[in-house]
Amino acid sequence: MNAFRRMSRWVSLLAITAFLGLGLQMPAYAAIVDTDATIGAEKASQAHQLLARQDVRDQLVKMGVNPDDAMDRINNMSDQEIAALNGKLDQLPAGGDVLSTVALIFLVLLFTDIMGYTDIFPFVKGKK
Amino acid sequence: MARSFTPRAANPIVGGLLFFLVLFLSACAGPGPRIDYSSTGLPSTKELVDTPFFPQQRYQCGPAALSTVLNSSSKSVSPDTLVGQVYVPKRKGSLRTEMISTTRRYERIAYQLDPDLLSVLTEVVNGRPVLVMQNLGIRLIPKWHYAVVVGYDLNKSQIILRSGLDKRKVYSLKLFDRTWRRSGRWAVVIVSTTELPATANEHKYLKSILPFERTKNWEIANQAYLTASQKWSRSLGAHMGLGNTYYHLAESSQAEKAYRKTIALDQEHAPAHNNLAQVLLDKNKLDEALLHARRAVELGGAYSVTYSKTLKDIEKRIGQN
Repeated sequence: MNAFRRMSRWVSLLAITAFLGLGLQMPAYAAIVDTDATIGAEKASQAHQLLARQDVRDQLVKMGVNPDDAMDRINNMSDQEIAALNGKLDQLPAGGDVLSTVALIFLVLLFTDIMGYTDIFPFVKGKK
Repeated sequence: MARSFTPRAANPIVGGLLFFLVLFLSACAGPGPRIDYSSTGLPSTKELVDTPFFPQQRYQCGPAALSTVLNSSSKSVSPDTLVGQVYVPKRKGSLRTEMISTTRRYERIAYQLDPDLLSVLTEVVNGRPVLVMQNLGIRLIPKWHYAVVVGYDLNKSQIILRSGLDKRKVYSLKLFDRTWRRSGRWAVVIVSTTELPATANEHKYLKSILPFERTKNWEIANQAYLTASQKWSRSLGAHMGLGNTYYHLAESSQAEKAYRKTIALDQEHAPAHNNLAQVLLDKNKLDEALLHARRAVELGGAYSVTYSKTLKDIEKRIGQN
């Protein structure tokens, strides 16, 4: 299943590359070099970019963002921003996060362990 | 308080955890030693009292804080509108990257400050509230939070924020810095395209304009590059950006001028030669176009495929004439 997913990724990457390659053959667009070249921002290949954008959109939706909103959100991001988010939505600091109950209980139990009221964590040698 | 901690910690992990626990609990301790800002030339007090305030609903300090700074930059937008644009429901919070990218939807630039208090206070003195991220918890058990710095009082070593449900939250500078440091001292100001942050640095500012080009907001990017070119008149990036945005706005004479200026600043800047050649080709000034296209190919570099294409296009046109 996983292998299939990986393969389908490569297939779509190939397809996109071929498509973009075709695009390049068309003489319609002028050969202007983007400002990125002067300012020194790295640029990912267009094919990788498209896939990465799709990935970030899917990840946002998985995190509870409305699919249309997610689309607007990724369309408004730079390549660097996409790269910064891709695969890290669940780890990056999210302002608004509240101290989780689990963490709070851990702290309280740690404290009571140290004080010798409880004996939950084996690594704590509390007051005897 | 510290006296009650007398563990017989044979294990260094316990010591480490205890250290963090103490650090965590001591966050409620009083003001620390004063920091000397007298040599910086900042006024001793400043408060942007007119900064709007949006008391946050649960978890939503991101939209509220962003709304505060956008409204201060005269963009009227409510926190509710921003929820769908920055909030991530399963994280019960908002990510820094999206706070910055969302700002661009409102034709504003989110400029990330250098990670020091002096930069923050300098922006406040210049009338800009500063969006900051704090970690109100500890590294192991973080509690990430957005707030807006609106003032300070150096005599009392205090800093004033719009934060959560507090319209005027006062921190000691020391405690604020401690909570702020854990976010990597993340701080951002919002500016329109015709103004620069007081502490702006050329390269960082230009980089924050680039994404407007990606989303084809040529008009906005153009205004910002213009602002940059006035401040840093020898900036290659600003003039090149001006050229490219004028080009996309179909103002070819202005584009030509900007590319020429770029070349005047750096005669070996291949992208400028290439783009100038393209503009000249569009204008059917073929002799000069050929000259610059050849120069670009000669200089080569990462975009040499494009340079060759430009040269070929020009030669083709000359052949047709």
